[in-house]
Amino acid sequence: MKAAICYEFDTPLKIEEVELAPTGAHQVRVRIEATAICHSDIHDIKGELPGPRPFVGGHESAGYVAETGDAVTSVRPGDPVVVSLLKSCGQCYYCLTGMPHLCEKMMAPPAVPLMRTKAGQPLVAKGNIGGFAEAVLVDESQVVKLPPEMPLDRACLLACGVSTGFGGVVNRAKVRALQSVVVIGAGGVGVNAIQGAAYSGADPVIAVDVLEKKLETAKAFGASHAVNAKSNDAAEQVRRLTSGRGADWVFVTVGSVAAIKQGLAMAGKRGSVVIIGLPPVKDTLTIAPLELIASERTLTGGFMGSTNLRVDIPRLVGLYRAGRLKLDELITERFPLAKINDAIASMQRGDALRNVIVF
Amino acid sequence: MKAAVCHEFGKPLSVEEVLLEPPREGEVKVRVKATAICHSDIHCIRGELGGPVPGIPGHETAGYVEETGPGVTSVRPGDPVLVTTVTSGCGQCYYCTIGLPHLCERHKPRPFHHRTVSGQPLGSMAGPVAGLAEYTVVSDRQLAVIPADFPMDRASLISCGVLTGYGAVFNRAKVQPLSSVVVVGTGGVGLNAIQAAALAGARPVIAVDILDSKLEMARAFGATQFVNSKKEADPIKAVRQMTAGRGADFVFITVGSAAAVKQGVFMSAPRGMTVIIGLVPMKDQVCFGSFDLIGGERVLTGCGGGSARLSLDVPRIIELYRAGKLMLDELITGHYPLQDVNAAIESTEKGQALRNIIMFD
Repeated sequence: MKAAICYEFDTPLKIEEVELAPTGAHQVRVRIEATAICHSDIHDIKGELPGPRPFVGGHESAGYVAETGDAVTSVRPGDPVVVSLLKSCGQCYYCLTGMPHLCEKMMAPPAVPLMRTKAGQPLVAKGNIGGFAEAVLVDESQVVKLPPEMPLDRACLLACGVSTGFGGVVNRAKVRALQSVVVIGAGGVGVNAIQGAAYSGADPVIAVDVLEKKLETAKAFGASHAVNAKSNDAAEQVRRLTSGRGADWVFVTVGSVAAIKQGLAMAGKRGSVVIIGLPPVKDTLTIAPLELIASERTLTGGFMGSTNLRVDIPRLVGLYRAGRLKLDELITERFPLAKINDAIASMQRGDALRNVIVF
Repeated sequence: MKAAVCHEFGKPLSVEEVLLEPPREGEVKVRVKATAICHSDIHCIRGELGGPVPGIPGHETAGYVEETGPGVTSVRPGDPVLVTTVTSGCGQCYYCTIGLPHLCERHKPRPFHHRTVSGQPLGSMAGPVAGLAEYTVVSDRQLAVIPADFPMDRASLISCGVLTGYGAVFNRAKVQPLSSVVVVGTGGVGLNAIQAAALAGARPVIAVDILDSKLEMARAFGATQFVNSKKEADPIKAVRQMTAGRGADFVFITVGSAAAVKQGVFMSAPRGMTVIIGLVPMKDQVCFGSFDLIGGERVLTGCGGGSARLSLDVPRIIELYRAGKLMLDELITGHYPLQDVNAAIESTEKGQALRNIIMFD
């Protein structure tokens, strides 16, 4: 089987033969049908997020179960599944209090490397997946069974981009009808935050981006207003659209500290800024605590849309099939694994919402 | 009439004769009986929070209504009142109508009412009260009527330190029973956050300070665990060990320091909430790594004036005090006449006092 390996930061991925470890008792081997490219993959490849090399990226995947470990009960070989990085133990405080996305054991590295090169060199499988590969080995908690009619190139989007944006609004913030929402960044995560806000009945839903083209897309996903972040009075425009107060919710989907600062200026008293896009690790956010006190503004983060896979993925599938969730429109282009570097380059240029590698 | 005037940042206050204008529409003249010294006063006198100079500090005040301006219906001359920086709101704007009157949109800056004898206008420092004066004029929205037999020195404490600590716990964070709480700083505000957390059934209630003597005091107010952040090599780790390795559900930062804010965020658990209630000087900034707030979905927010609804919270606090469930007497370190105001400030600055109260005849 083949995978796209990153040996050196900021160099093209190499397509090589790799091998998976034997399937453990709680593991599932999945034959990958589709893996989307996320901006976090690009951060990984550029060396902007920490982690050892060589690695295989890709964490928005879908495919068919090929083999299951002895203790696996929720899926069987042949089942179509979404594969997510949200590994959870089911036993820790956060799993037991309904927040498996904060599982205390999620980041624990696997006992045995999941993937190796043909020569036997261990490969880090990013997100405990490594979805830029023809097959992956994951924990049972990372897969959710899909209905057979669900197209897998669209299903893979549910694993990260869609759930991060939609779930950031619906699960993390619990936005209510008629609350005002700003979404900074109308990319792959941002448009999903926008459709989550619109679905929740938020009004206005204000998209903020630097590109007019993306603001147009944002409107197609349900934004009621668009503000160009480059205009000098962007925060003032948001205030004008929110009865002079600033927004109840500001979702920052672009990985930029400047955008977070801009978001704080757009939030009203008691308003919240929810950071859901990952800024580069070297960037630091500097704020004056005084800015948060009298206004009682809140600054927080949302991780992977606070997604509870077993609950949320079937719901998102249901919404898609009912025509209430846009997925088709998220896919800009499909590429074979051999063309993965082209797919990444197009994402980096900002040309694409989501490029999907199809196997 | 006399007042304590700050003519220059960082200099001792001058106790001198001042002039006072009569109350205008919606305003009330108060004969001040007690004003407690708060650390925010000291920050202002030092020039760390800006503010008008010359000006009159003091914002934890209680006294009697002396005279009411046109249109005032909520109080009458002779009423015992506490005076706070928190507004009870216009009752008409967005925030007032959604139950957050302390964020009232029509809350305006207080006009200058006092003047020096040579006619120079005097602002109010550390809030719109000017409480270190024998008489002051404030908005009728800043008053809460108290029972006639309630001691004025205790009432003055409620108006800021108690309301801030109590309100942050009950109103802003809504601490639930059995949740874990950290209070950083066990001064006048911190002890009130601690006793409110204990009253709310939080457990553990972890007090963090740099002085063992203050941590002892925290024990008396209901703290169950203690971290001396100067002696402890890793205070964050110490807190995590006391909270099943996770960190706390709620962290209240009562000291005005950005470093404490950052430390507090790391003392909070994933999904935990850090509430800043001590005024941090504007130039004092805190720096976070990009992933610090995302990975654990930690929440950082602030609380102004205990998010108080004066007419609901003040009577509750008085009732809890009378029922022996909230301590006020123990918060008072010393009583001083106005002429000794600088001594009262100095002892507070040195960390020798929880609250020193200036008493007026």
